[in-house]
Amino acid sequence: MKKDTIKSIVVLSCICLVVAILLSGVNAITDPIIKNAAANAASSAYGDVLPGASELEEITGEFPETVKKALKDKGGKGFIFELATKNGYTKNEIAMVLGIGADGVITKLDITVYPESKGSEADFEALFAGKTADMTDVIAGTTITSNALKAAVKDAYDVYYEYAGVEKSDEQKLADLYEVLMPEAKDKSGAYSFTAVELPTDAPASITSIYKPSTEIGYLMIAKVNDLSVAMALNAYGKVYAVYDLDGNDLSGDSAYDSVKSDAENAIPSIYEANNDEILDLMIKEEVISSASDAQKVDFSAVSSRVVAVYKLKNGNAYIANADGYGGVLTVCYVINSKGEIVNYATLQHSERDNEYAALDYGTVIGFNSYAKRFDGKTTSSIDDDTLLIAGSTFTTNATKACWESIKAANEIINGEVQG
Amino acid sequence: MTQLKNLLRGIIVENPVLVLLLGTCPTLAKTNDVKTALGMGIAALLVLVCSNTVISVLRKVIPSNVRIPCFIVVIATFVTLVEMLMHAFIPSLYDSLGIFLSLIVVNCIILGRAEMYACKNGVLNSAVDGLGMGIGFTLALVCMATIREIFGLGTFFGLEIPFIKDYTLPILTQSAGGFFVFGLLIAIVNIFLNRTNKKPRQEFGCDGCPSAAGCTKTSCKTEGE
Repeated sequence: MKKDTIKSIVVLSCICLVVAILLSGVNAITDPIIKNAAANAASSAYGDVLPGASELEEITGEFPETVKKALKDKGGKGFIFELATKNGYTKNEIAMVLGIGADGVITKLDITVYPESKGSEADFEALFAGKTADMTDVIAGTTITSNALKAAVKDAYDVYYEYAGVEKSDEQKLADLYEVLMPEAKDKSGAYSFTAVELPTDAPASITSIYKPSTEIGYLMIAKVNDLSVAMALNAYGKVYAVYDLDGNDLSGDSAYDSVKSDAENAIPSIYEANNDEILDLMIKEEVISSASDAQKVDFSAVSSRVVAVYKLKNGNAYIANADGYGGVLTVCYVINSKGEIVNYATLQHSERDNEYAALDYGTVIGFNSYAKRFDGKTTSSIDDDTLLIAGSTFTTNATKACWESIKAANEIINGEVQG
Repeated sequence: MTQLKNLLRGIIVENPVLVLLLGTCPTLAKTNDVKTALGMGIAALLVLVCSNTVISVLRKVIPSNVRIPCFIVVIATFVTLVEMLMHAFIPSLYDSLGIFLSLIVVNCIILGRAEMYACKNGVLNSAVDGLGMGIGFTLALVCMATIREIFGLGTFFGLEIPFIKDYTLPILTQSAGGFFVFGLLIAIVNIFLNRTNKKPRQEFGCDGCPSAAGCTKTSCKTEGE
């Protein structure tokens, strides 16, 4: 038995040894040929990726691992990068030649070595052309490889910014800060998708740009304070909760930025108005007639502590109430006009699991989702269980029902008082 | 004469793809066009012949309890050799085969022949068996690729075929079309073998296996039932 074991070990080891010698011998012959071919493929792609580049000068320095070679066109046409990454799906090296034009936009990405299943190189090349470092698209079915290529391209841009004498734009710096400023703005695929919001004409001068995430949970703003650009994150109620400079330093506690914070908050009503954010527009612009400070006027504790705020609008009221859902606090907002019609509904906050509740009905926090559509054309008297309840989420919909009943009672009190 | 029979066995009666149904993965994935299929077939053929030969040479040295690791090492070596040589000298074919080239290592045909035949038979017999199986694999692939390329893409070996080009069936180039053609070919081979009284499967279970004659596993019969 023991003899057998030893024999097995010896034989297998011998085979492996012979094989290793054989393979290294062949590798010694083929490797230079393969490397040479790859280098030729890369350099023959130069003219292709950066048309018009005449005289290229190699840049030397400390580069990220993926950047194998960086070249600069002496005529100022742009930069060429040779990139290689092993983070693709097969973990084999993918080699690319990337051209970045003088304007910082990708002229062409040429994939010279592609070990993955064939067919998607052309898609990738088309995907990257004309984009910049902060592109977020991927090709369906090749997510891992897409991400590897994006990371490599981003590394190339890091070198580009270092050597091109071009400062990263404020927008690009802000993109690096999404994770810090608004981590909850990620969409379902885990990516950040912010769009620029047009600056309202009456916005304070200090505010230079405004961005809104696809998840609509607030706003990011860039403002200038004494020539320093700062990024601010505002929640959906229009309150600033974080201030950072664009290099990622936390300035939230610094009172020097209080004035710019209030500038940002003051800009919110105009943004809502310009973007037709109905409920929020109404909520923020109008005078608050009852909340903690106005408790004597309308005592909601008589109704229920669920109603946390009422905003008086031109032609009605907006009510905010909360109750405990299955996963945590649920906050809803109803806008009811003086005729008792439900003008709008929004789920302001919920803690239900996305797959079961949000995707079906409650939607993203703050949003006009399919659940909200149930209230189309309803009045205070026509809302019933069918309107409010969602099958399979009894607990949470009971919370929405409790909220509604409190709001209905509050609405009766307010209307009674106004009319009386 | 026996060698000829040995060779032909792999091509028809025990065709690895269409009768034994081994190596289905490259069969479905790399039969979009004839050129790639031929490359895939030849690469596998080279590996088959070499690994069968080497394993047959070493069959008396390799202890049976580590035979599978030994076979895999030998097979992986030849696959890597083919891969490196192809990368250096035929880069276009290397590119079009992609990951399926390295996957030859786990191709059932090769390990199957090592375990089934090469480790029990002489060097010449094993080499001829590998050659026959390799040719059988290549022919099956080329056959399938011919149908898929002509009717799916309207080309043959990359050359356009005038009339058919305008009436292609794109589904044939997709995986589903691959299964369709695969099934069709298996059916045709079955009809042919039935006619010549060499039914590939007389019955289900081990006895019905076309390779039953070469199989020495004693418990085979009961397992099959």
